[in-house]
Parts: sequence; structure tokens; C-alpha cells
Amino acid sequence: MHSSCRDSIRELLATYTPSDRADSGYADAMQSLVEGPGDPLSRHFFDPGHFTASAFVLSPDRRRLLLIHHHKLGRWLQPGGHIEGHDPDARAAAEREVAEETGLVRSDLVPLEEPARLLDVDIHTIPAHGKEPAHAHYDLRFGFVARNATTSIGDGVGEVRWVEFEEVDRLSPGASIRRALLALRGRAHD
Amino acid sequence: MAHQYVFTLQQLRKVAPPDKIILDGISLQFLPGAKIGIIGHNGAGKSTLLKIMAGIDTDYQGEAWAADGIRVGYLAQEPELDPEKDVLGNVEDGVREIRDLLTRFEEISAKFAEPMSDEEMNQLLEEQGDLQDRIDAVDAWNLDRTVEVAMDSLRLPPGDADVSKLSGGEIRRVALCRLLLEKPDMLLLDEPTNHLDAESMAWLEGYLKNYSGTVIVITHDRYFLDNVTEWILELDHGKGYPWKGNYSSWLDQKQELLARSEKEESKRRRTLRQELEWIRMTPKARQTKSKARIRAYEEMVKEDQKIRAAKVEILIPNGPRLGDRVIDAHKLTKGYGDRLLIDELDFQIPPNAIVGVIGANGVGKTTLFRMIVGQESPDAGKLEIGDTVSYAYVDQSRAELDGEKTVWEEISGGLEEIELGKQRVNSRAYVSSFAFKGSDQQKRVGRLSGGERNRLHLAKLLRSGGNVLLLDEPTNDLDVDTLRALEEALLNFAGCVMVISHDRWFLDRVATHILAFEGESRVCFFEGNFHDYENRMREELGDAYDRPHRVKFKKFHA
Repeated sequence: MHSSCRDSIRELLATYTPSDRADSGYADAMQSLVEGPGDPLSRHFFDPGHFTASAFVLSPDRRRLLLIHHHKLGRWLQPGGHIEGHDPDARAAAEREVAEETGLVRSDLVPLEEPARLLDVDIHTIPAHGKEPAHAHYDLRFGFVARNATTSIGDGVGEVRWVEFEEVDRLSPGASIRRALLALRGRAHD
Repeated sequence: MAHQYVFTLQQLRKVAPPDKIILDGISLQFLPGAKIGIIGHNGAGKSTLLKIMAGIDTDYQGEAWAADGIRVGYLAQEPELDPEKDVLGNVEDGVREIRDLLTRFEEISAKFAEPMSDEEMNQLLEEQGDLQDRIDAVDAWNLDRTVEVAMDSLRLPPGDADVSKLSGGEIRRVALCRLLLEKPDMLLLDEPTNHLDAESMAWLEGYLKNYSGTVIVITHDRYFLDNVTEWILELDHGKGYPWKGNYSSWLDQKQELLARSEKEESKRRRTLRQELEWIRMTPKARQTKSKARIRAYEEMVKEDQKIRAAKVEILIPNGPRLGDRVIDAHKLTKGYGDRLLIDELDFQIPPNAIVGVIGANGVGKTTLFRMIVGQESPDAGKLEIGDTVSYAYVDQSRAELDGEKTVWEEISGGLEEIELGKQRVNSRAYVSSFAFKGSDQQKRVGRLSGGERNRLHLAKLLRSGGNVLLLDEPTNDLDVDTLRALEEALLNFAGCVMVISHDRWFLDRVATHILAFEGESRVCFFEGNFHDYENRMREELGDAYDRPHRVKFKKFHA
């Protein structure tokens, strides 16, 4: 069911150039996952985990980043989530999540690159919860620039905000978002 | 862009009679030019997979096919040579096609000296041009030189040597040389690093890294895996798990994966973590660590055995406490026939040292062990052995094994619990830590392969309770998991170890000293691990160190 989407991830990883050492370790692990047995696109594949997709969206003036306040986690994050069976590829999954969480639909977003390329990759552990064992999210990250800034608050989201670059680190500290933002700003100027 | 795969496996399944599942539905695609290392326990199906891909084993379910026009070359663990030909003749078989082109080119060149019509001349010129293009395309003008370099680098016996008189190791090297010169699009190599010394290994690494075709290799040599491969294919319980990255990267990913699935750290994960920590250490920190081992002897002797048993997969009991003198050599000299093996060697081995003994085959390493335990005596100079020393040593050529006993009986003496020093452990668990899993423990000793016999010897030797272990090539037949476990075991053992090994990674991890048989009867005792030793040699010899050469001896006049 996921086979064409899986091929698209293979292509994405083949053209991806990691920005630092941690990142290149993630890229290796991602390739291991996509070539490995099982269905790493299914949200029920826990050993070691599954792919997710997320979006780093620049405001139309390219000076702010789109973040959501995640209800359950109580944290500011970029929009993103699981890849569904009907998503044709990983970037489409990221676009769908942006629409569901922030109200910005596909026609509001200009992809940073065409054909699709990865902006960044990140692997983070999700602790055991309910019946789900601890597992990892292998997050495929894409860059976009928004055509308009009008957002609405979607499912599971407490707040949607365009955040000044200087503010991002304070609101959502961590190397992973910093690294992606750096890549985003670098490529948006190309 | 879709990739053109050079080889495809589809639901590949292999069952060994009567019902042992070796490969359980493996589906994989191989990219052109990929360099892949296969790892897995002994018996995990590594060789079987390679044989199926080589088209030698056709008794399987599912599908395995090479893409159109892809030439597959295979090095078996026990390759065969053409007995009608000498060494050079066998090697030349690898370049037969190219050789024919060159011969024809020369024939044509010679013909131009003879009178001929314009038409004949044009025809010859055309053929010559065509030949020239084909020879250019494979860059074969220096074929003689290429063959010579390959033969020298892999330390082949002389070209006119009779292949029926070669040792197993020499046969493998000739076969490897022939295969590499054939340059197939896909190379399948089953343990190509066995019987290669460090310098030939370095040459092979460089060669394969730059090889334009796909390379799939089974090896337990972790530097080789780290330096050459970009993918690791792990075989486990019949399944194949591809991992992107070299050996270190695999270790990293595997450790992460285990960390996520385990509540408490297993011994296996601890062992992986220790190796990973070691990889991440700077050379300086590694040096400090190995020096600290020598100082820490007293503490290690006193360490609680119970705590130690909980940490390691293989427990080596500490023998009786060692005094300050262990083994001292003074102007030790030994010859064999008319060859001088050891020429005025001096060394002093401190308690808790782990001495890696290295050198090409046949230079006198085993002879040194025999002298140390008193089975042979020096021709000159002396060996002084400390009063407290008790050896654990098996001379594998003489050791007696009962062929009718099972592996488990031979190692455990039929006891469910065995004593390792003051610690009692389950004997089946102990036997399985030497990669004898499940039904392998019930195999009759008489029916074991050479590699299995060596593991059996090792398991018996390590439980015997000496304070000086003499290990002769223990690493050759171990899979990577067992090797790692053995390293941890030695690092946690309070006592002295002298170990003959070609495994550079193993020596780097455990050795505090190197005793190097350098050729021309020179033996050098060096404080540091193999990497330190190599660095010093490079400083001394420059590039000459990396260029393999055949071993020479001084004449011996007793």
C-alpha cells in the first residue's frame, strides 16, 4: 500500500546532504529504516519506529517561522505528524498536516524546492504511552514559504503563531529545530 | 530517478534438511557500486546467502536474480584451483580474455613487417584499431605489471609453484587474486581477509574501496568493515536487516535500537556500548586506558567476581595472583632448520599486560609460545618465568578431543553448572557464549568444522583458570558478536594474556603491548596497541611500510 511512498523516501534520502555529524548519523539510520523489513510508514510499526513528516514554513516576508503549540506535549513545534496510507508521498503528508493544524492549505504553500528535497532529518524517541511501546519518530522535514499569513487553529493545537527567528530558540529550544531553521534560511535566500 | 538494481532477492527462503530454517523470506535489492558487509552469528546463513547469489546453491524457495548482463564473481571459503596449471597459470585464467587481445595485437604488429597488399594492410589496420580501443577501454596495456602487483600485494607463492603443494591459505590468496583480476560487475567474497596479513589486508581494502562494481563481503574484520563498506546487512533469525553506514555506524544504530527496546541494559547492549565508547575515544585516551590497565592489576584481582560476572558475556576466571615477574626474555634466539626465527630478543612482560603477537605466517610465533611453556627450548639466551605463573594454553595440533562427545559434554564435563573461579555459572549459557547455540551444543566433536573446533578449544581454555593465557589465533573463526564478547572478557580478566592474532581491531581494543615479528628475524617488543605500533613503523619506514613485500629470513648458523 505504501510502496510508492516508500520509493519516494528512498529518492529523498539519496539526494539529501547532511549538514553535520549528528545529522549524517540520522540520515544513515533513515536509510536503514527504509530498506529494512516491515512497514516503516505505518504508525503501528514500533521496532524501531516509523517515518513522520513535518513542515518548516516561512512567513510571506520570510522573517518568521510557523510554529504550533501542541496540546498533549505542551510544547511549541513545527506542524507535522504521521504519514497516512492515502498520502502519495512524504511531502504531501507534511502539507496535509499543515492544513489540519494551521489552516494553511496546499495552495497557500510554495515548496522550497522542486522536485521535492529534504530540508533536514531528525530522529526522536517517543516514550511508551498506553498500549504503544517506546519507539522513534524518523522525521522527514520539508521547507515551504507561505503565500499568505492567515492561519486558523486546528486539531490538537492550542495556538498557531508566526515566530520571529530570534524568538524561536527561546520558545522551542533544541538543536534539531535550530538546525532546520538554519538550513531553511540558507536555502530561502538561494 | 529509479535505480537500476544489479541484483534482486524476492522472498528468498532456505531450509536445511530436515527442517532448520536458515533464510526466512528475505527481499532485498542491491544498488550498483554498493559496498556491503554481511554480519551475523556463526550459522546465521551468511555463506548460504552468498552461495545462492553466486548461483552455486540452487536449492531454495523464492527468487534471486542478477540484472541482465551483470557478471557475478564469487570467492568461496574453500576455493578450488586448476591443478593442471601452476600459480601463474591460475592467476592468468582471470585475465584470459584481455591476454588474448594483447597477444593478437602483438601478432598484428609483427605482421606489418611482412610484405602484403593494400587491402590486407587496411584490414589489419582496422583490426588493430579495434583491438586498441578494446584494450584502452579496460586499461590493459600494463597487464603484466597489474598481474605482478596483485600477486605481490596478496603475497602469492612464486608463479611457477605447483598448486597441489600449496597450503589452504595460499590457495585462497591465489583464488582471490584470480577473481580480482577478472573484475566482475559484482564481487561476492566469503571471508577474503582470512589468511591475509595486515599489509595485504590494507592493500585489499584500498582495492575494493575503489572498485567500480558492487562488492558483497562476509568478514569478521571490523576495520575492513569500517573502511570498505557503506552498508551492513545483518542476518538474524533468518531475516535480513540492511543498515546504512559502516561498522561503527551499525554499532551506533544497533545500540540505539536496543536502548529503546530494553528497560534494563542487557550484557549484549553493554558490550556494544563499550565498543562504541572505545570507537569515540581519541588515540590519546586509548593509550591512557591501556596504561591504566597495567597499574590497576591489584584492584582487578580483588574485584568482586559476582559483579564482574553480571557485566560480561564471557567470564574468564582470574587465576592465582601474579608476582612482579611474569615472563622475561634475555637475548632469546631460536632457529628452525636453516632459518633464524628469533634473533636476540629481549622483553619483560608486566602483570596484567595483554600482548598482541603479530607477524606473517610461519615466522615463529607459535614456536615462541612453545618455548614459553617449555615444549621447546631456546638455542641461545634465556627465558625466565615467574614463580607464580600458571598457564592456560592449548597446543591445538596436539590437543586431544573425544570425537564421540557432544560439544556441551566436552566443554562442561557433563555438568549443568561449572565453576569459573569462585563463580558458578550455567554451563549451557557458557557454551552458548562461544556461538554454539541450541542444537549446535549437541553436535559430536568428531563432526565439527575446523572453525568450530577452534571455538571449542577456546571455550575449554578460558575456563581452565590460569593467570597467563596464551591464545593462538583465537579470532580467526569467531563472528563479530563473539569477538566483541571475547574482547570484553579479556579486558575484564585480571592476569596476563599473550595473543597471536591478525585482527587489527581486536588488537587495538585489547593490547597493551605488541610483539611484532617483522621479518628478517627481527622481533620487536613495543608498548602500545597495534595502531600505535603501525604509526611508529610508518615514521620509521615511510611508504615502504604500506607496500606489502614477501617475508625474508636471515640464514641461521647454529
